Amino acid sequence: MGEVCFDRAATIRVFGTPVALRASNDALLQRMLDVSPPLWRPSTARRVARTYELRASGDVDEALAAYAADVKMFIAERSPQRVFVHAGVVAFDDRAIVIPGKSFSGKTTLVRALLDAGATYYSDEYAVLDRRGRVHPYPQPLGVRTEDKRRQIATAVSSRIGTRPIPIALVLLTEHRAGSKWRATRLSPARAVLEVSQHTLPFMRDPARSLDVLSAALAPATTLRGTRGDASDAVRAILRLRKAFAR
Amino acid sequence: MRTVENETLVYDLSSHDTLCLDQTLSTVWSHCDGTRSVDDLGQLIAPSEGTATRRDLTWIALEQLRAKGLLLDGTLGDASVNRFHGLSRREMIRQAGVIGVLVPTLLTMAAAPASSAASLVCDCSAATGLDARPQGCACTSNNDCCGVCIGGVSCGPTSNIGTHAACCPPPP
Repeated sequence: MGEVCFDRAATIRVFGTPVALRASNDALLQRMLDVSPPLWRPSTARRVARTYELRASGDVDEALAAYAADVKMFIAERSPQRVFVHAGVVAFDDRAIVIPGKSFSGKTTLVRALLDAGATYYSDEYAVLDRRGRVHPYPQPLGVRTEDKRRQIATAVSSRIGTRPIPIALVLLTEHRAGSKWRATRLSPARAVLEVSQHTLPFMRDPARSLDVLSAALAPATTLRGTRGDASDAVRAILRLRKAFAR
Repeated sequence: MRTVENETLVYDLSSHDTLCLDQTLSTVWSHCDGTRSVDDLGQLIAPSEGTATRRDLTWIALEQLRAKGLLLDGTLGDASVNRFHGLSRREMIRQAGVIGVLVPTLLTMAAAPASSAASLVCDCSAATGLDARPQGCACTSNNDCCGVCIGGVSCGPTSNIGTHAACCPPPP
């Protein structure tokens, strides 16, 4: 049995983390790049944080999906430049609305509804925070869940996509409950940090930096916790709050 | 430890719990320097209340700090000195009978288990369906996994974050 030759390689840098990709042919390498996290850049780094190798045998689609999921989480946990929070993010008037929540919590549905109401798209996966507490774009295409839970990439969000870091105005820790009405109470900034820490990927690995960044991000913001019903009801409530953070 | 607008956040490196001390508890904790009596602390946190209420509120604050390991061992003495020793916050409030007064609050949020530092852990309360098994567990379909069942054999990674009290163990 001959050795597998990974003679197609690329190094990319994603949010400050260099990752090496190796593939058995050009087409496969390109597909790896296509599903890599957004905003990756070519890198000449010799030392990398992780190497991924894919070869063209078996179910390539499954392997690519596994690579995409793994590298996304690896970067989210290990980025030296940013703190990643599992959240959807949109913006009005250059002020971010952050919706923390794990997969299947309804945050993408709410993100879509807010985009339909005129918001600018930042992410439906991660709030990417810098040490000043600003949120950066993570513009992966909006995903939809198919019946077997696979994430299919929907058509790209049209027009309004954020391109620069912005401060957070509103954080919504609201749980979707079918048939329920919008009901939310305000949390203090420290309580907000406590709650959002549960959705912060590097928190256990680097609690000091995570606390610093979350405090910077959430101290000036309004954090609400409660329940929401359908997305349109939540959007109406959010737009009423918009006056509180308009310039 | 971080202070955020008069409240204090503390991350316990041994338990991986995050604690949130409200303004009153933050004040008590920051003034527990071995030179102040319970009455001194009470004057700081509830100067307009009566002596008995001030003492109760202070002891409620101190007992919450002690229970979370934020005071040196033995500082408060045992139940013969501290009548709230070992009681929950609710029990302390009931025993003290403090009504219409803002009682000091210490909130605790447990971080995900250390084994989930890879964030590849999901809520395994359901045997199948959404939020089922984490990466590495055996599977036959995607419904068994938080993520994708790769090759119909093993669950792939997932971006869910949660506890995994009922998760199957990873393969050897």
